[in-house]
Amino acid sequence: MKRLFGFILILLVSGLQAQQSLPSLNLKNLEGKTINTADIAKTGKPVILSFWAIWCKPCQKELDAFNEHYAEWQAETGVKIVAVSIDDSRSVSRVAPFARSKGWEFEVLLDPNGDFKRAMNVNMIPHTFLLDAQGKIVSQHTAYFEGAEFELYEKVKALAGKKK
Amino acid sequence: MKRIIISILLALFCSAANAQQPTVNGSFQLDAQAYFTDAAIGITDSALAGQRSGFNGFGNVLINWGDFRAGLRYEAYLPPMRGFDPRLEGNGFANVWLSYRTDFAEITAGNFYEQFGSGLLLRTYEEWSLGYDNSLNGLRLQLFPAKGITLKGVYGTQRFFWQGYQRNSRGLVRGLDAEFNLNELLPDRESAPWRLSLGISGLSKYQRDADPIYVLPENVGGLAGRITAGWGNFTLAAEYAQKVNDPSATNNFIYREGRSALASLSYATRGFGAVVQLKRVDNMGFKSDRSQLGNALDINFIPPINRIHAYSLTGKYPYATQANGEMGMQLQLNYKIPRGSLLGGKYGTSVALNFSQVNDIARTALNDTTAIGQDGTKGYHSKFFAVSDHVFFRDFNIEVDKRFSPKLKGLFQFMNLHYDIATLQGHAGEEAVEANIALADITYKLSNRKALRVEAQVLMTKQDMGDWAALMAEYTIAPKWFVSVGDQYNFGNPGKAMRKHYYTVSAGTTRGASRLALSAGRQAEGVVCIGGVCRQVPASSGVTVTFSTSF
Amino acid sequence: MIKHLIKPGFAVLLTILAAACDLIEPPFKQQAGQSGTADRKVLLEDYTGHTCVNCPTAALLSQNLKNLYGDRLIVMAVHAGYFARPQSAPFNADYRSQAGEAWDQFFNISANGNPNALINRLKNNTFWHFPPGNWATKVAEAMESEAAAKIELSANYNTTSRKLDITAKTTFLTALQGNFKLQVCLVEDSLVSAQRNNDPNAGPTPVIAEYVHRHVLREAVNGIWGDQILSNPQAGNSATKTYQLTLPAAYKHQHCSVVVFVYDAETYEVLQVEDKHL
Repeated sequence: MKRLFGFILILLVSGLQAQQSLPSLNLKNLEGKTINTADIAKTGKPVILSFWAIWCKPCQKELDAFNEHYAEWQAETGVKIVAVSIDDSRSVSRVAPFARSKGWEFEVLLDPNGDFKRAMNVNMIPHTFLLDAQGKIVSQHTAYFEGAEFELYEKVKALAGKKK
Repeated sequence: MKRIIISILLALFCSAANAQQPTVNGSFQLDAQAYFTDAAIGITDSALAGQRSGFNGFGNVLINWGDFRAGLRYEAYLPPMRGFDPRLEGNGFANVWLSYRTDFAEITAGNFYEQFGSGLLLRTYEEWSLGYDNSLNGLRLQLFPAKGITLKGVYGTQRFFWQGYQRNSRGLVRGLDAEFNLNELLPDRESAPWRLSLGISGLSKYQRDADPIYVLPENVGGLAGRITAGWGNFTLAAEYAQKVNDPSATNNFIYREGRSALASLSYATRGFGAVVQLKRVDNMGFKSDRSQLGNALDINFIPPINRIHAYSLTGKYPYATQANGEMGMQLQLNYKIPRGSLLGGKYGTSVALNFSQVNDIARTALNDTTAIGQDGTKGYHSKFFAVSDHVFFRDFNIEVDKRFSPKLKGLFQFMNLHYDIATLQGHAGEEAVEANIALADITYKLSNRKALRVEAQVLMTKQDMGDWAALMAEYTIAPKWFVSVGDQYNFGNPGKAMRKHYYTVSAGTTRGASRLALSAGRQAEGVVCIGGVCRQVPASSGVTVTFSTSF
Repeated sequence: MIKHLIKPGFAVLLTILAAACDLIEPPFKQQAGQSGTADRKVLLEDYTGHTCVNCPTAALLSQNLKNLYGDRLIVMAVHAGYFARPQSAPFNADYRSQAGEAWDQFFNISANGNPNALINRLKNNTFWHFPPGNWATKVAEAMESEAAAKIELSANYNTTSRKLDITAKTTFLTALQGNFKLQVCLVEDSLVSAQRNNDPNAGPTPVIAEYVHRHVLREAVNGIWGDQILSNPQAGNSATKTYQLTLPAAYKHQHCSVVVFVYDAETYEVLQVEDKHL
């Protein structure tokens, strides 16, 4: 075990950097199409990546809030929202009917065994990441309180503005 | 093993030195509790039995370096908090793994989490809030020979708290899975109006037989097949799994084969969604140690198909899958009444309707002299669709989510529940709980950032602990602060002396992906006797601190 | 292309799976002959309680094992923890003992649930208790192990004075390192009172009104952890301990027996156990 720590220390000294981009994993979207997570960020625009589940009320509130402003936000900044459901086989089959009935305009991905969740170190949901136009993670936050979407959108605007 | 991993890591370090920079991400969490005596709910010095604190914590680090990824997870339970499995007590590295991925293959050595289909044959996962982790420790190879084809092979032993694997201490698990996505596999079908994918898996466990009473199978195998088909707004998903004789403590050492099936049909369009699900389970408990009971060493995962409730009283009586046999169905309808309509109002109204019921399966005796489920026999006969009248669980609930004005919105739910507490919590002889639950969750925006949320719930039942009421108020300042006070009051407990209040006060702050929360409150006692073991989680009164962060 | 892949794929899968299943034909139970050294006896401490619905099933199992191994298996039912607490009638019996409660705490058993057992007090890797599913296998394994000591036990009981004289002579058969202790217990069989139950094979559910509680630990005669007898013994070394007590009036002497075991003070492993009916 000591040698393992030694190895990690070497890595740290050698200039380890905090994670900047998304790992490459295959997830399915609601249509059953395979989506590689590394491709999520390849839009040239900022991306909001939000982990949620249908049993998580604050998550739904956050996504509803996003959805309410999505058209407006997209017009202003081109931001793309991707919602990753971590529902496992208990509830994964209810995700598509639920998300569609909500009228959410953004893409929903399914992560039924939590591979993407674990790769992103998501422990509590909602957990939302903000990625810049180059696909780099610029910020992340957990929990949702009423009105938090405005603060997030300020960051999106700053990112979109910086690019110009 | 560790040496090998370290050598590989070092080799990687040298060879990849001129490749791209490694990146790291990770997370930490600590949950600490201090317990106090509380005469009002019967917690005396002796009831505390010397346990005045509980501590659960982990640190998780992932390293990404080009095609390599590695992970380390440290956990400590010193001792585990009340309500967690006492066998978790200890600390150390729970997960160590390394994987290498190319376009053609991915190989993982160490601890990994895998799921075949919906998990009827294999699912390893980790759920921190429950203290559950059945990760496989071994090797996994995934192949991507052509677009639309994924092949997987796994070989290893499962995590069992802190017990390292020793020869014959528990079973070996080996499995194969193949999945074919026909839209991607066939040329020019990527955007066809239909979608079809097929999967097949096989799994086998090996565990030595040294039993003086039974002649046990050392190799127990199972096969599963699955299909997902879609046309337009419809999706059909079905999975079937079967395994050979697997006498175990779970099924009282019967030699019957196991079967389970899961099917769902859903329809989803903008503003409306519907799904109907069916499930049958017959003798499908599958553990890598046949002597184990309860929540450990599960190889497969049989999903309960009923709504997962999010409020304290609607979630008071949760269903647990009966691996020895159950047959259930669920129907869920989601509808958004459009804006501007009579019922939809100015902002639209969401309505969700959910019904689920699970019955026991019908069993008949093998012959006149053998009792149903008698150990050391084939157990019983059961036709594939034979259902018993015995209802384990029924849940009918309706939820309305409505915004009244830009500042005010509310969620209302009604639930009618039948809960066979004798089976589901092992409270032998107790009458099934028939409960009606109603709740309102109202949010009022005081400003763009400040909001007040009030949850009021009531649960009415004549059985078990009787009626409950709960009230909670939460004040939030986005995006950083929250404070809440709440009380659960067991006002209808049949024992007058047991009509207690369970208060909770909590506050916390969130900064980016870091969260600190502090809460103080009481927790009611629980006694659960499922899976052949009886456990009591004593009532507690204490302070909890939770800190978590991700980077 | 696909056909070429799928066919051999299935063939490989089926071959592997065929090799990966053992289909067992009746009879499913065996009449295993007794194995191991005949002088080796094994102690199974069944931690139990009268409000534990799953405990009668486990008691049946220990009885089955007793039938299989006869005198070589010594069963002691330790009533301790939440499920052993006296409650309102009919669960007002109290079979708890000071030693039982202390052992339950020390070996952390009822916190893990009941029924669970200690088998020769062997450590189960990182914890102590063995769930009922393990009992048969672990007892069989313990029977195979070499007897490192033998105990010659006598228990003389005077029915009029209720005086009980116990003499236990422990002789080590091999040289051992460590400190060894002798524990003397009083066990009463066939105590009748209510027991919760959910197993129709064990009796009526949910309550067996007149359940026969077998092999109930009543008390530890020489303290919770017994008496030190020898350190680093050589083969042939022996130690004799004598105890005298008056049998409490509540105990039926015709149902009582003395259980004596020698254990390693450091590992708690029981080297040998012996019992004597009064």
